[in-house]
Amino acid sequence: MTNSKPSKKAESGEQKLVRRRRAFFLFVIFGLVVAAGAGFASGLVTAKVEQGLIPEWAVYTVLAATAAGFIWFGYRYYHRIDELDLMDNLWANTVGIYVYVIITFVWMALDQAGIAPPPQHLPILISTIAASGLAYLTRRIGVR
Amino acid sequence: MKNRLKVLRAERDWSQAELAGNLDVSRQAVNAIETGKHDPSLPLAFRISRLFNLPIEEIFDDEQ
Repeated sequence: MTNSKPSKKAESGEQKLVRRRRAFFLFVIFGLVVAAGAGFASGLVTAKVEQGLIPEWAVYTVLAATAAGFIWFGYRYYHRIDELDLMDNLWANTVGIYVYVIITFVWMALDQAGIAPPPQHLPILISTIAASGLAYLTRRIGVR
Repeated sequence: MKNRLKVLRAERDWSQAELAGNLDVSRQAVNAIETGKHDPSLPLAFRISRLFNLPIEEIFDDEQ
């Protein structure tokens, strides 16, 4: 059993929280820096492949490394956040996937009916990210 | 779910942030639990129980 009263020598809860928050933000900043580096590297490698300076497999290697890094970051991120943040993220992701599926199928149906042009991925992706972000912010301001 | 977190915290003169730090959750999570907006997971409920050295049913009340 943990003592119900913290000892004076032990790190206080406030200090723990500050340390935890600082470590979390450092982790996120690290992820953003690595993502930016991966984006720069993939652009550079793609251009070099187009020029015939390096072989095509280099693109696949960089993309695979980027995907692996992205998955690892997501995995670690979900292990670092507390359950309230986890729920906010899960809600946001659920809303996002619903928006993605609904827009895609509605657009496809409208296309098949000859009412709309064929579905384009970019506007659907932007709508999905926007809906997820909005759902996350809504949760964060206290709507539960 | 009703709970006695606020009272237990006051007994120890802990802020929400201090309790959050001891439980390794965010201050927002403690606030959401205290105000009944969020029911803690079972692992977190056990951590709270151990921290206050009290059985779970003496902290949380599932009677509506």
